Amino acid sequence: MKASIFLIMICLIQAGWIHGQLVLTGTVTDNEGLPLPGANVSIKDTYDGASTDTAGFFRFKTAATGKQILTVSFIGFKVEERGMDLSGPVSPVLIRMEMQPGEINSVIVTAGTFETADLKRPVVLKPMDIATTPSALGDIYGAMATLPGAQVVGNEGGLYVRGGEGYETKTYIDGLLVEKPFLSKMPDLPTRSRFSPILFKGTAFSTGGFTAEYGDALSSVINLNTVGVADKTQSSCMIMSVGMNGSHSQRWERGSVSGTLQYINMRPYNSLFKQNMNWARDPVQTDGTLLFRQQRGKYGILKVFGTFNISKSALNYSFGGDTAGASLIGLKNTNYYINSVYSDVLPGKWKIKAGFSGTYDLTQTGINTDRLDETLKGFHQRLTLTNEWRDKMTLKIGEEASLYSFNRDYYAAGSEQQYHVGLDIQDYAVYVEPEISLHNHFVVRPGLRAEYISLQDRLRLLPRLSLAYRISDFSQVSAAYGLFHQRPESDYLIYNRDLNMEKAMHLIVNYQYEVNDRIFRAEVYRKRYTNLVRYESEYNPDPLTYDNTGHGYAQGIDLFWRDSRTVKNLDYWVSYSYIDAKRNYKNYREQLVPSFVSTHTLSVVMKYFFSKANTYAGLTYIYASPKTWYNPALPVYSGDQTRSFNDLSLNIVVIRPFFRNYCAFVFNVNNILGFQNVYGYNYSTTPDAGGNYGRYPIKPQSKRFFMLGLMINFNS
Amino acid sequence: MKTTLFFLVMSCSAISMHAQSQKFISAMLSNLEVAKSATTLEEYQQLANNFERIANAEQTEWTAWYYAAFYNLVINFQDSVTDRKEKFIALAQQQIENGLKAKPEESEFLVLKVMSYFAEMAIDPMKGMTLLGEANALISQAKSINPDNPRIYLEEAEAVYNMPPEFGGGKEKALPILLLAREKFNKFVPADQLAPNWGRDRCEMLLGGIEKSNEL
Repeated sequence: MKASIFLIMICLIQAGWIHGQLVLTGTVTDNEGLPLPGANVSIKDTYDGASTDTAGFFRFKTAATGKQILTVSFIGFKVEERGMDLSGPVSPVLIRMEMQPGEINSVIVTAGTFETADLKRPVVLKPMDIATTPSALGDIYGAMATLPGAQVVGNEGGLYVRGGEGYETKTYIDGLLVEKPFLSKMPDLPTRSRFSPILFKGTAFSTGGFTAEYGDALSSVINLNTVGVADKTQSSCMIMSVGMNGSHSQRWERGSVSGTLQYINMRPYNSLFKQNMNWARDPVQTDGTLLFRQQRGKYGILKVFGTFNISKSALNYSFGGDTAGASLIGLKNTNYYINSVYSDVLPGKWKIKAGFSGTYDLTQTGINTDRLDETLKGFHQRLTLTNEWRDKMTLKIGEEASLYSFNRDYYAAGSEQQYHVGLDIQDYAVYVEPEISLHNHFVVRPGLRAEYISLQDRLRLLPRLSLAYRISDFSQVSAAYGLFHQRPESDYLIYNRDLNMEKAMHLIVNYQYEVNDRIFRAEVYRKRYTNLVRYESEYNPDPLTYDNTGHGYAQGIDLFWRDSRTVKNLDYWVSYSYIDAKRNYKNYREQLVPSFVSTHTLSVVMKYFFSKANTYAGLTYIYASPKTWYNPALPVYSGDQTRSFNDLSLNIVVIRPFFRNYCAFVFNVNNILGFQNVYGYNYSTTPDAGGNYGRYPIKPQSKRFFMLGLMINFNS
Repeated sequence: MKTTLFFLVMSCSAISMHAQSQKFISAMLSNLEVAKSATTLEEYQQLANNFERIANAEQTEWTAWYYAAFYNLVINFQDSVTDRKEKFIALAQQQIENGLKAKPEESEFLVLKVMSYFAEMAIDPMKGMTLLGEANALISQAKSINPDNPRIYLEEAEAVYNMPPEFGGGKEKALPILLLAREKFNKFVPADQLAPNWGRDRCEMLLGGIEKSNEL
């Protein structure tokens, strides 16, 4: 009978009639030790648990005994699991939660692009913000130009950052180099990004002090992160005043493939609206992209991104003003780019990211009857390993290789090839960058990069250092220092291979305050440039006169304010930059303010949603103070001041139902108020009758630019 | 003796099995009871967490996932910080997916999914571009699964009610859908005491609002 009593006892326990109740208490905090209210604490596989109160404290009873697992979860944090022995009384537990690494779904502008123990996100633009910034007209770089630190250079396009030229900004996609991110450009006309902003879920724009992962860039790095697996199978098409495009995404269980085709023809538009340029052949462009994504295992994902882009145009252009008569310049550009990245988590918690990118670009320029072919081939490969030890330290180590070849072939009218010059470069680099939390409020990130430069057969070490200190819940200061270098532009290197790397030193201090959808940032910096390329005269580019004696500096302050909270449905940001920059490089005879620098730059971007009318309206105002241009023919540089640059741009997006789907009307216009902007001057190479060298203003392509589009989405 | 023992063991495991589901039901019911008087964000947070704990322990019970997701959406509507709102919506959507694994093709989850899309659009109206079409597709799908679920019609009516008349929405357009929803509510009998059974009041409130504006 003893046996049966024993059995009954077991059954009763099993049925939960007899419980030994144990009390569990503890506190849950974030990685900085601040309490986390509302976290869900439980004994795994039981109902027993509680939510933490405002002090992060929890208390609950449990019937579970023996070895158990305590789990804690809260939005934005990694699930924390801890083994517990519930055989006897348990002392209070302290659980520190780690932030979810998450996907970068926002633009980050910080001193050294810092994503440290940071509960709040730094300066943020969403992918949609980039697509809908009125002044940008869908150009990624145009949207970045509304952030502090960037200059308005209307005759060039691209990104001129803190006293640096356009070529000093390097573009990466998923960490892999894009050799030619811009469309080939005509003289005096701005270029645009090859890539549509909707391909990217996030953009990290560094205005200086970037990490040891990035080498060959003097001033700035922009890293575009492509979208992951497409959400669903769907198609869309867009008809615009300048062309049309169509796209389709096919989604399956663990992957997707998306393709886009676009055709742009400026002819109808250019014939309707007055152009300041004399087009012999209006620009025509055909491009396409293909994205393939496949998940593998728990964390693995393979991303392949391929694009092609073919564009043609011809312009009647007068070199050095109109005295020399117009030349016919024809431009044909063919560009292919492929990028493939695999990321996964290896045993031992090592995160791996490996990939390569390849560029092929052929630019054929015809000048009257002559032709110049420029062929660029680029290959870039990178492998990065990251490991996190709790929240104390993150170690990043990596390796990259880049192969680059550039060939220039010149054909004179009716003759065989006149000359050929070429350049082949192989550079290799390794980098290591630990990020150490010395204290809950203090993080240090020292980095070191070692590069082997094939042209000079030399090994170079580039140190980097970033620090961040959190002052309060809402504010932090950070600082960044680093040595950066970049290969001289191929235009010079192709003729003189003895040129050294151009060098820069950045020192940045940043303050950031962020609370509830409002962000304020202030940043001061000092940059020193050395080893810049110099030569005697622009018109006598004798390769032997090129040397590395150029130098310069830039210092200034950048301010940024964004507020999407004060007024309902209104989101706005204001950027202001003050810069003091001078250089003695290229053919300058003394240290001068470069022609692309405006001392003061202000931009205001406002977006308002009219909920009743399902309509978005965006407004951008940009001001840039006068720029200084120099007449190279004059013995003493006096400097010509342009007038200040002003632009007011507007876009309107109206969303309307379209059968069972929805469509959007998009209207975009820049320079509504018709400011007479002058970007700079071209100077005549020959004196007129009075012995003066005439100057000719460089103006925008047209006074205003309109864009009208209709986009339709189809869900399957 | 052997038979006694056998009987005892059998009955005990029966009690045990029964107790298991009894435990689930009583835990669910007591939380649903608490929910009736909940008004603050903290209370909703506790409810969402409680249901989530139950759901994690009982992976196959769809109602636990349902209420966990439901209350995370409620928290999102009450919260005012965009960044957090988005995270609660994302969490709710994950819980809806978990629930759909426990009970595929449950029209109640499709209704929640539609609600989560509306929540996303409330934060970023530009998302309407893709999500409105998706929401419409889900509503049709839900109707084909269970045409008698009144909450499908309620959500459909909400969308029409909140859309301006120039876009084919408005109170007038919403009225027939709400009347249909009321009819469905009157006939609706929940499958059991844990199955979703909300929305009547909301439906009557919207109808009352329309009647009032018609009288003026």
